[in-house]
Amino acid sequence: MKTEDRRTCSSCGNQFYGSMESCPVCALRKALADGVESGEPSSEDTVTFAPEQATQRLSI
Amino acid sequence: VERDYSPPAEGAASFHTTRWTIVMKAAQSQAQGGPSALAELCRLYWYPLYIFARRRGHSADDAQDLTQSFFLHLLEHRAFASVDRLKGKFRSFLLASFQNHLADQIDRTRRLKRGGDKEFVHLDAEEAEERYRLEPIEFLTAEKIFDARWAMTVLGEALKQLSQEYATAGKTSTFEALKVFLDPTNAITPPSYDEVANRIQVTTGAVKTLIHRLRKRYTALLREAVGRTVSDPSEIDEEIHALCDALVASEGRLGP
Repeated sequence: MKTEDRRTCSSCGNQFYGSMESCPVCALRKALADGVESGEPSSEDTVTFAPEQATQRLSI
Repeated sequence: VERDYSPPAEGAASFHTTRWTIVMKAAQSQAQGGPSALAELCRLYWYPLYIFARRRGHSADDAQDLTQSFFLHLLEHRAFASVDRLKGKFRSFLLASFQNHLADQIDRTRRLKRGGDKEFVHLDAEEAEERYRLEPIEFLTAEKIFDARWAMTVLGEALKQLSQEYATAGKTSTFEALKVFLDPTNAITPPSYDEVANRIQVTTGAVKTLIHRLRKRYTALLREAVGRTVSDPSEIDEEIHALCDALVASEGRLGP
């Protein structure tokens, strides 16, 4: 890939692939900030797998 | 016209938010849906492993066989059911296990009939090779490419799921009009709110609400995607930091 195919994010300074719509690092950092705001469930997951839905997802 | 500005129904199957350790245990105990859920995880993350094998010098056919046989090994090898083996990040677990697999299984894999007699996850080798040819292998190590490609896969999965949720709700045109606003830095100059409002036939105020909800849902899906790859929700932030580091290290050389 050529250097000119990359862009520099005006916010974080990270370089990212030119055809991408947004800076992936900023997207992840936004997710970090949102995690602080919303919190995360900490309880053990209840597992109720749905095979038919899994099949549906795999066919996409 | 009365319009529904609520976010699309989440509608995700329960395993979509289930941590990988639980998926793995369910798969290895052959619990109902367990193998399918594991297949789903493997389907999402097989390309970073494939590219790792290619970067380590394996041919396209061998890399495909090694990746496929590795997933079969995951399902069949009950030693992985040990709790201690399943602690930590899915990314680290897969790479370490795959490196062992590469060392141990090359000869065995070569003896397999091309394509193997069992297929756990469908691997589109042709598409993978097209992508691999565009990867910046001359600049980055196999490990760096793996981590950065993993980060891109997580981001892509969250965006794909977001798009699917809007499509399921019959709001594809809304998503297409608004997705440019997902960029928190507005690296690409977005259209004005009035332009978007006119395009999707809502008020300007509604556009602002829709953008806010789109961004909120995207980051929630991103955290969900990362959450599936760690063994405890408390590790999500640490993993996101690691993914950021991987992307920075890749110097923007990986495409979507």
